[in-house]
Amino acid sequence: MIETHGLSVGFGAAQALRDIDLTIRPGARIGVVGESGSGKSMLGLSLMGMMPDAAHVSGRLAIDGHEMIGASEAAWRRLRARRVAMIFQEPMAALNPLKRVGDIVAEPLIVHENLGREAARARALDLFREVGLPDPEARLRQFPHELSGGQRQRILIALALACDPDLLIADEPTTALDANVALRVTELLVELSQQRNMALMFISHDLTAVARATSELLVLYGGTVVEQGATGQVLAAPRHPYTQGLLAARPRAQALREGGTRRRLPTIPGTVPPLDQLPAGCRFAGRCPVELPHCASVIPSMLDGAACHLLGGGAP
Amino acid sequence: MTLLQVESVTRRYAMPRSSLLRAAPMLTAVDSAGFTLERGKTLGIVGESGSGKSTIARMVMAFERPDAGRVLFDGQDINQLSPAALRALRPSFQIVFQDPYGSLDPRRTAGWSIAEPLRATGDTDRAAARVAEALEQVGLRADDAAKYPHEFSGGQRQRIAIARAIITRPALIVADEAVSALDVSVQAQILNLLMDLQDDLGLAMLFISHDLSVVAAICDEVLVLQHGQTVEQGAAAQVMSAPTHAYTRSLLTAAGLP
Repeated sequence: MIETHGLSVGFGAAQALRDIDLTIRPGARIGVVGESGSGKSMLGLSLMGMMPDAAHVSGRLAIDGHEMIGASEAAWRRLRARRVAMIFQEPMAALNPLKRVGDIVAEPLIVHENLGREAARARALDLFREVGLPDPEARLRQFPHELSGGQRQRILIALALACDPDLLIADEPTTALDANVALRVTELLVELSQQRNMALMFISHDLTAVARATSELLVLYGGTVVEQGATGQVLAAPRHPYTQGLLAARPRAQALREGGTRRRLPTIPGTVPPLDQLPAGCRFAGRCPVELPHCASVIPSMLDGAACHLLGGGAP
Repeated sequence: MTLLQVESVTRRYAMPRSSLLRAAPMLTAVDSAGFTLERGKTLGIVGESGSGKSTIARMVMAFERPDAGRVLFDGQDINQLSPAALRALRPSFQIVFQDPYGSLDPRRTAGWSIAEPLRATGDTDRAAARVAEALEQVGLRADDAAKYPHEFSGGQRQRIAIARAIITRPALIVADEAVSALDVSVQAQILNLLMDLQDDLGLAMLFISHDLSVVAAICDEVLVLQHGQTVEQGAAAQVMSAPTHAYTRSLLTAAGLP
């Protein structure tokens, strides 16, 4: 189990994450949505102990009861791969182009699990089967450039699963893939999570993919959680003005074409401010359509899954 | 009135040779695709990577010649024009790419990049005033011309790319995955901007995307491509509500559309 309490990550005056409270239970499937700069990738990196050196980290982060804030790199290395593993958006960039993919997946088994070369290869083959790679024996000897984008992402998933992690963090795993391939990779991640009772953190700006992959949802804006709850419920009945704006901005064919004429999409006014220019109170202040006078200065507290003054969160 | 007529164009590429003794295998990227686009209207081209949609864009822009078929712009076959005549016609059709950071020179100001099509055609009269006008049309400020690309957000950079496309007062914009790299809320702003510009300037648009929900929102007609072949073509509302081809249905399902 992984728990954070008041987890904050700052760079000088800029705060990339502020007061994140999160509990990840075995087998949980948690979606993290938010736009560029919302802190969603930083949250994933924090749980891997991979914050940049310049980051100032505070709060609590417990992995299986071990406090990891301020832990040494050696302590993190013992946890990575076995407790927490991560896959990224661009699989080609994460795979060594000069190595056969079978050797890439066997390597962590040799390093972390002390397996011999032959045993590690056999396990790699099992993993290739588990992630649904067609013709797995032949794949072992291929190089990354010989595979399609979807197949490469499956290799990365096999690599992440090699040491049987408790939590798999998938950072935009489907963004670089075609819609049909993305759908199959999403389904694979859900199956693996269920079969292995492995927690899955699915970080994405693609709300359709998140709806398919997860049962719980965190909505991030400006490094804070503005809304959280059951995925279906948040998407069907968003409560925070930011979540409402984000969902309304999605193009939907039916709503936009009435009587054959095109309609303009609802938008959130303005742009996300730079991290060091975010309001001290609610991060969404300044862009919020229903803002109250104290929103920009007072931090709202989470109440019934939404952190918003209008919904009663921390009204003075 | 017909602005762009693409008549069963085919484009083949030579693949890397597998053996020195055999001819390089050919890949047919686009196979007899055809459509017409009326002035002021929007045609969407949808398909996965490798379906041939960007190849069609490059042929419409006369960056590449079709191996068979014709591309007629305003009744003229653009591949039969002399280089000078083609250069004179180029201001009438402009393109916006997916990655605004890659298509803007990081060492040049936004204003320099926006004025580039004017310099390319030698039409540099009142260039500064026209840059200022284009910036305002895309929702930026005239003094943003002096800034560099890194000073803008992703959505603003795409606005700059659009300003560069409209500065020659084109009749056609080719938008090749122009909103695909943007966040949902920024994407909505850019889609609204494109619709407003179309209404204000009477632009026709060839809108290329892998995302059916975006195409459904902005296009009058849709052409669905798979492996270079046209599998479905028709009014956007019709294709979205009653797709006839299994591939279109699978794209709709994948996009989360009912």
